[in-house]
Amino acid sequence: MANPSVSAPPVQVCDPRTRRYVGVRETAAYVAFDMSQSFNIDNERESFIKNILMIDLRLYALVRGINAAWDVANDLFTGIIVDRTQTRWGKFKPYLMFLAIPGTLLAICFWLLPVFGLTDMGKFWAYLVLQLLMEGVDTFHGMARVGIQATLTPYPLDRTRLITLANLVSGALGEKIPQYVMQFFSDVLRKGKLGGAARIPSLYVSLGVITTIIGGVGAFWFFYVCKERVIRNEEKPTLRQSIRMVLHNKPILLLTLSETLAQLSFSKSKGDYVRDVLDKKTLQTIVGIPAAFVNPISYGLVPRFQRRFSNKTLYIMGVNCISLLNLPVYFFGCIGGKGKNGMYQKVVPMAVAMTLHETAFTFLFGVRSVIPTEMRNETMDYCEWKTGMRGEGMISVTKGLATKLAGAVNDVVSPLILYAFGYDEKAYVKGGTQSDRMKFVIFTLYAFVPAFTNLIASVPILFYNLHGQERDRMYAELHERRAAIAARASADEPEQS
Amino acid sequence: MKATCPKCGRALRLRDWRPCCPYCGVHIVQYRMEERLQDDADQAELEYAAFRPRLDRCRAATIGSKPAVLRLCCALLPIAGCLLPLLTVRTQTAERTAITILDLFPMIAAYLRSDGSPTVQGVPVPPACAAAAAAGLFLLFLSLLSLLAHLVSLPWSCTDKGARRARRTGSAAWAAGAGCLALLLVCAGITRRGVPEATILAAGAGAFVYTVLLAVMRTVDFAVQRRGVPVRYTPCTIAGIPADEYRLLLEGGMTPSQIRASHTITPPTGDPPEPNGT
Repeated sequence: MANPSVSAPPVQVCDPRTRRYVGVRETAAYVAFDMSQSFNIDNERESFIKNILMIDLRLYALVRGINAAWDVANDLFTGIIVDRTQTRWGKFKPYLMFLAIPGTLLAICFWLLPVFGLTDMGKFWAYLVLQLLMEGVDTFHGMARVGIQATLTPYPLDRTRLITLANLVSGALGEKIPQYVMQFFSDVLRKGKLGGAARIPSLYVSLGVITTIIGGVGAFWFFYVCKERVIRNEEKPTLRQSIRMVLHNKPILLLTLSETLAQLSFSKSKGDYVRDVLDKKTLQTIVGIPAAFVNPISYGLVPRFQRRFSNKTLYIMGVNCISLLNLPVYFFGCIGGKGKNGMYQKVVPMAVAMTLHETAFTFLFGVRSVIPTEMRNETMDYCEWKTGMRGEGMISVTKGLATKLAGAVNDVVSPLILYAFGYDEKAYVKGGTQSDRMKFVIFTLYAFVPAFTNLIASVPILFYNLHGQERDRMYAELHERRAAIAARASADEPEQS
Repeated sequence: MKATCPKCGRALRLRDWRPCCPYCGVHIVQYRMEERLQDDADQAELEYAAFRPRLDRCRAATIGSKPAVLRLCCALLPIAGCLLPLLTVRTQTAERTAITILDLFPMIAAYLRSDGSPTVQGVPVPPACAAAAAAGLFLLFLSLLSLLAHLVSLPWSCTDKGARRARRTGSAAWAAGAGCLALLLVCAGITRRGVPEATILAAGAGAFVYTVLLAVMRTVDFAVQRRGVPVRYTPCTIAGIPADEYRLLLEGGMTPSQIRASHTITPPTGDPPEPNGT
């Protein structure tokens, strides 16, 4: 017999996990924000400091050392400050909004340094102060950027859709255009055309300032329209709780370990190989042309891959696809031996092999760029599930510190490996080439070694257990918990005049 | 738009940064968050339902069918023609130099700076010939701009206005390209009729290939537009309700929360059925 006092709650027609929460305008702003991260010439910073500002290399090394120490120090307290922030706009939006303009102004001042006509010591002090301020702002801003991506929408399906769309569209709209423009005009000016090499500083200054302003406007638009949509507990974590949140968060520890091991690859890039072995820098771009047509397709494949495989499997596939697919390139290059007759020294056959390799792995490029971000966002949800609190700040700090440390070790060991095998650092500028032995070492470090180092880096992810039923259970319980928090806040607030 | 408390409705100032309302004490972020989240979702899906047909038309116009893909490929092909030599220069010593698109700009700049005795690759050419070549290259430049405009207009060509725009830009690209080729042929004729041993400027293989590929592009474009491009519209839902039905309900005066409430399924309050019941 039916019990009239007991009734099941009404069931919605649609599953809230599959809904869209971010509107068209906010999505467009998110794409603009994603594009603004790459729409710059930040990869030319080192060249700007050494060749345009012409800061003494010893002073430059000193600034880098001071900045590295400041970077580690401010990471430690920034994480806890961000995690304990609670405002009516959310946790991250205040930092994004209020630091956007100062951050942009500092970057503009940086690119305008050559205009001020400072003395050598003046340049050093200006650069040091700017660098310390920019590092501080960027730490808060960086954590807030990571955090807002995790809280823009409460459900992973919507989040993955946003990340995929942003990566695809920002690439298609030409986020790398400033870098191509920089390369093209640098070469033209160095050849004495359009005013000659004397105008190179103007090129850096104008491109640096223009891209900073455009990127800043795009990012600010997103910061203004974005909303945080993840309900969180009111409790502010203490420092001890924040550290425990990370130490007891197995998924983030595994991800961090994997990324740290990946940094310790001691490998060489495609750019190093085409420059030092094939002596054809433009080949780097040419072999990527067919892959450029596959790139958009790879993003369309992400949902299909996600339906068939777990994020864990896709992460491992993404990490290893480039290096494992490079093994046939390595074996092909070994034909003819290690000397001058080795195939690895022949431009045309290796260009064909590299083109095929790049086109093949580009099918997984979408997975490679989307899945790690989504997994990082999942670990933040896991933290909330296990502890009741979100620790985006401390999680970012943990990951950042570990990878910076590993990067520093890599920066020290990699040159030593080259030195041990007799790398001639003057050969390129003198128009010479490396020895056959060195060329083969570079080729091996590019095409063979990463296959093993990346496999080792994937091992921690085998223990990643946030998938399948566990993941579904996590999101179901988080949904209930957040609904309960909202219901409590709506039900028992006192009226005050 | 000023921010207000979701409960008491009072205006909040910038300095009211704390998560609780200074007037009624409610937690601004958490208060009725689930309902506001569903309102956000309704709004987002409504915006997407309005935007999706445009995406469907763009998709249909570019990669939605084999003719559309063929049309897109034909629109990209003329660029290959530009990479071939557009001009050839044959000097008195029978030396041939091929001039590609990258060589054109310094050449034109040198011609514009010349004081009445234009040269190409350091060799003097008749002024009429140089003017014809410069005019031809200007038309080439216009043709490339029109081609770029045509490529940009193709995804929007499923509407009448978009189709007209694509036709105009495609025709402009072809007409300018054909004009460029004609002027380069005139240029060669001038130099041949002049002093026999003079430098000859002639249209290179690239100019011919470019013009032919533009003609192919226009033909395929015309055929595809005449045949029509079928558009498959993706059905969109808002809170699980078909978009058209939802809009009708909104226009009828219902609020999003009322629509959601009226379309929920309430399970019966009786005992659950026996596992093996009839």
